[in-house]
Amino acid sequence: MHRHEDYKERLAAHALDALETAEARELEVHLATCAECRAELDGWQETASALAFAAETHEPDASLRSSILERARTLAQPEAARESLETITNESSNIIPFNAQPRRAWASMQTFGAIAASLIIAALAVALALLWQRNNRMEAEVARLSRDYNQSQIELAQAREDRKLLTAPGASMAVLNGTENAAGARAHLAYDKTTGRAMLVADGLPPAPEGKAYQLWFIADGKPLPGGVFNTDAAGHGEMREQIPPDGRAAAVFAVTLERAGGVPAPEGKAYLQSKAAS
Amino acid sequence: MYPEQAQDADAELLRAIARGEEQALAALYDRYRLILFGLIQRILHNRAEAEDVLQEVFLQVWQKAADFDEARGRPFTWLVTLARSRAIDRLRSLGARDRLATASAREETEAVADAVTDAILSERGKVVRDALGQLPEEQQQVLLLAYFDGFTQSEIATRTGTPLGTVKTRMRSGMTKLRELLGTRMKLIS
Repeated sequence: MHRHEDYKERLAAHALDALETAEARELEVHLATCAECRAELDGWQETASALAFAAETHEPDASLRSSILERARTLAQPEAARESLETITNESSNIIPFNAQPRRAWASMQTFGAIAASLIIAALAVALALLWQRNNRMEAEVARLSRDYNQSQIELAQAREDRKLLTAPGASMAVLNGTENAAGARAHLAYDKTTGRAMLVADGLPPAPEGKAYQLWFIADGKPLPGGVFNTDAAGHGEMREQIPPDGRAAAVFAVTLERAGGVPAPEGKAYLQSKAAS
Repeated sequence: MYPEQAQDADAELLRAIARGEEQALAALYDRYRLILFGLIQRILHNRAEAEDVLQEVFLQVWQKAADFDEARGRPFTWLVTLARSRAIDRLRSLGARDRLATASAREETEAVADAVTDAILSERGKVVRDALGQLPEEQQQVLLLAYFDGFTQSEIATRTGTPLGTVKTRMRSGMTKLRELLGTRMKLIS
C-alpha cells in the first residue's frame, strides 16, 4: 500500500490517462475513499481537457447533426432505454453499442467505488483469515516452546539437585547387584544420610509386567521400610528420586522387588536387586 | 464567451437533455461540434472514424446526461473527457496507434508553433496553445503523446528513449506549469 502523498503525485498523470493499468487501478481504489484526491483529480481533469484546444477545430459533415438527432429520437432516455437500445444495437449498424462505459465518465465512479469497496472488503477478509490462521499457528508454536522450556527447566533443576546430592558432604553411594531373577541388572543408589535425599539409577532390569512396578526397600535391622516405586524403559533403564524416611537413613542394605504397581507396605514379590552393604 | 453564463447554460442544456429535449441536444452539438470534432480527428487522423465517434459521443450524452454531476466539474470538461476517452478507445481498437503516433507528435510541434501567430483560431485555442508553447518542448511532447495518442508513461519512455522517471517528472511538471499558466485565463475563457 502507498501513502496518500504517493497517490497525490500520480493524479496529474491519471488525468491524462497515462498511468499503467495496475497503477491506475490502485489509484482508483484510493480515490474511492479519498475525497481530497478526488477533488484534486477533478482539477487536473480540467487542465487536461484544456489540451483539447491544442487541436485545430474542424467542421464535421453537415449531415452528422441530423443523423445524431434522428438516432437520438430512436434511442429512448435512460428509464426506457435498455430494451430499445438492444433492438438498435442488434440492427446492422456502424455504431458501437453502449455496453462499454466511457473510461472517464464520472458516473462510473460510483459503481467503481462500490466495486472497489467490495474488493477491499473481500481482500481484508482474506487477509484477516490468513492473519488469524497465522496467529493460531504462532500461538501453538509459542505454547509448544513454552512447554519445552518448562520441561528443560525441570530437567535442569533435577540435574542440579542430582549434582548437589552427589557432591554433598554426607553423600554415600550403594551398589545394588542383580539377584538370580535379574542376573544382568545393576543399580546405584546415591543418598544423603543427613537430608534423606536419594537417587536410584538402575539398568538391565526386565520390563515390569502389566500392573507391576519395581519398589525400593531400605532394610534397617533386618526390617524392610518401603521406598518409592519406579518403572523401566524398553532398554531396562530406570531412574527414581526419593526422600528416605528418617528411620530408613541408617539402613545397611537396599533392595528392589517387583510389586503391585502402586507399591506395597511390606515386600511381597521377588527381589531383583540387592546391595551387599552400605559404605 | 462569458464563463459563468456559458457554464450555467451548458449545465442547463444537460438538464434539458436528461429530460429528453432534443433541441437541447442540438444546441449542445452546435456549441461544441467544432472543438470536439477537432479533438477526435486529431486523435484518430481519420475523418470517417472521427465522425462516427462524434456521433457516438453525442448519443452517449443523450443517454447519460443525467449522470453529469455539477459538483465534480464543468460540463465542458465532462464533454471533452468523454469525447477524448471514446476516441482513444477507438484508436486502440483500430490498432493504429503506433503508426500514427510519430506523425502526430511532429504535427503537434508545428501546430503549437503556428498557433501563436494564427489569428483565425478561437480565443480559447489561442490561450491554450500559447500556454503550451511556453512549456519546454520535452514537457509538451510528453503531455501531447499522452493526451492525443493515449500512451502511458512507460510507453512514452520506450518510444522517446527517455528514462521512466524523467517522463514522470516531465509530465507532472508540464501539467503543473500548464495549470499555472491557464489558472487565471481558463476562468476567462470557459
